[in-house]
Amino acid sequence: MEPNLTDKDAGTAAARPLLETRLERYGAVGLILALAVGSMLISSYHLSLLTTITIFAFSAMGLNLLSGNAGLISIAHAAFMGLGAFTAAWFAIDLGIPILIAIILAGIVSAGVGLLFGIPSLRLSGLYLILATFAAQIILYWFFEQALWLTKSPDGRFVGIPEVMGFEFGDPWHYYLLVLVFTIAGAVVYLNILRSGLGRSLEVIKERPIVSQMMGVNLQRTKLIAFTIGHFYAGVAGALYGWHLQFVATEAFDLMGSIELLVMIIIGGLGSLAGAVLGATFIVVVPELLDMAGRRLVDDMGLMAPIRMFIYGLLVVIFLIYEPHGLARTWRKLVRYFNKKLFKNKNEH
Amino acid sequence: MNILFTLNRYLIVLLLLFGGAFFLMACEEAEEEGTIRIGQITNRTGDTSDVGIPLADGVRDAWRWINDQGGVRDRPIRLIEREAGYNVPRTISYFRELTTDYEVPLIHGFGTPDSEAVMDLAARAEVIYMPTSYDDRFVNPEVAPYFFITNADYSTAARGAVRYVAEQEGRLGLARNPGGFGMAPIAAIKEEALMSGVPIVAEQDLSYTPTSAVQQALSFRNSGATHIWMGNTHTAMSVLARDLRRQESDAVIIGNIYAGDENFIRSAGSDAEGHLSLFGSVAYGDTTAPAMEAIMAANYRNPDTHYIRGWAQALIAAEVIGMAIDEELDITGENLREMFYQLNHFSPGGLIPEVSYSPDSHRPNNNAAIYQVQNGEWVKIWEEE
Repeated sequence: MEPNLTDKDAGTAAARPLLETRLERYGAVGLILALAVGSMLISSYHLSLLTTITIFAFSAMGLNLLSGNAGLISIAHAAFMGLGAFTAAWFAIDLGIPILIAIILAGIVSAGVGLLFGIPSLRLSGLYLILATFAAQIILYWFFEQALWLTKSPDGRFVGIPEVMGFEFGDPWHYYLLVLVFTIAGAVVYLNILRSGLGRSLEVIKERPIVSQMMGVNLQRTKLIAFTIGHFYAGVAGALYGWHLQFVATEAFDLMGSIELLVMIIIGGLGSLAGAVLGATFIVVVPELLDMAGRRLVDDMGLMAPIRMFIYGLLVVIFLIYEPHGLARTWRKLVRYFNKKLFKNKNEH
Repeated sequence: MNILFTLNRYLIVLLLLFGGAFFLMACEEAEEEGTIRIGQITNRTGDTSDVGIPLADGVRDAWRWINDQGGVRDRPIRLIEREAGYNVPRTISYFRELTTDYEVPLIHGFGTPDSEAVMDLAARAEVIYMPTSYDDRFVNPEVAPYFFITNADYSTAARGAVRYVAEQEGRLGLARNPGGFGMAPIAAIKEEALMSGVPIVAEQDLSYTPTSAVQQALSFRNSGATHIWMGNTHTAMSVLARDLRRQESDAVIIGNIYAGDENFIRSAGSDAEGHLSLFGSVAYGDTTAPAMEAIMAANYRNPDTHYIRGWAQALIAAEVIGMAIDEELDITGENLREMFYQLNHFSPGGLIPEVSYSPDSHRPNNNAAIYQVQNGEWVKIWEEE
């Protein structure tokens, strides 16, 4: 019989170790090594895609914590990424602060602003909360277009090649490794939050907000912590994204960007690390694959471009109908299957 | 077989689709010997794709025609197209792919924010970038050393429009789009208005795709504006034309190169009559332009001024590549840049005003031509070289 898999399978049980099975432990080490070494062998274009996926996975972790785990749906996550990207550029270029510190400061600024926007949202939920975050998206985007001391032009600003302690990240592979380190650190923190008391509080305020207060969970404090941490991830991801593109583009952080991030965690799977990573992969890779396949099949971009958009939309809809729990659920099925096959009788924690 | 039962059927279908796509990706197109690769980053699906599609198709059809004629000095051209949908991150990714994986020396680009985003990258990669945005920064070789636009920049053209208003002793209103594209010439317009003695009586913001411009129309009517500068899209210009008529204003709109086009006449209908626009090319069917016959033979479904400018851009690129071949130079961005500097009053088939470039300025010309909608057609009424 198929096990009953829900979002809670993501690992909120306190007693669980960070990586549950041998397959997960070996798999995690293997995956990190494969990403670090394999990324050296691929073309610059594919490396650029991989870097984008890694950054979006980082950002999606924050959104997953906020929306997937705490149930606070946000359609302003891209705007907070933008805030991180612009403030990191301002700290590093205009104020001369070292880049690594600027990235962390950008996360703190985004977290602080996220906290401010979180306060009026405390009494809201469901559609009303979505509208409140929509307002945050509009306000921040307007701010990017107006605050030229920060953004330099309404379209955005150059940030150049990142440099850390005299080492220039001119080689995109070096920068990818930096992004990978941030993302791994972000993933470890995310998994640990889910295993902690805070993680359990987030789950309970999502599922049973009234009961949670009877259980002694401070609802408002927990929501504010979720807003703060979720937007910290967004800020850091935005800063990393800016230096990846070497240009902070205002339009990359518009409402569509926020919706795309939300689609990312829904397709990937709400409330889990695998969901953030797989969702980011899906959203970045599928349009590219359709584009490449289309180019090979039809030598007419004029015809293929709209068809590609249609197929992409169709795929997303089919996906949501047939796997509403997201790719993470399929991923967990795969892991369990191979875990059973490969580590029969040895599967002790 | 257990795994097949464990997984959903949809996942298997998805895996097959991805596998097929990867297989197709692996099949790289064969190239003839001596082929020269060039790139094009298009906007066929994003905002303002109404002009992005004909521009991209114009470039593509021109290169097809050139290849049908035997290529450039008998060398075939492979145009590698990528669709970025006016999305800056995608443009940057494709720019990197085209310059590093395909090593193209020249790329046809599109709009203001996406082109601005690759300005620095183009300089470092020493790759020619030819945007169809005519932002002022793109003509400054100190800021954008590898950028070459093919029509007068927004500010230069807009200054011409202000001088036209001065000749009419008019009062100017500004209907601005608050983005980079719309704001680019505003400072130049104000400066020129001051020098020409044209009062600016009202300033209003208008988005790319508004549904109403009543508030703006009222402001222009009440301020007594006789002419309204419009750096925007044909949609916004149509809405403003409609609401000016509804608010009984006689003000005449002067659109920039992307606002007043054939689509404006289609969408505004009779409201378009009498309004003006800067135009960057000859009209379709004007056979006084030597290249018009080839354009008409391409049998394009909806030829407009943008399509013609796309052709012109490709013809200029073909000219500099041909010059480099004649001088037995490698086809690199650096060598092509030197060839651009040798273009002096070059006319790309008579489709657009003549272009000249120098190491000090990449401004192709100072041309400002104003057309007016008369009986449902654009008719040239004023030109300044």
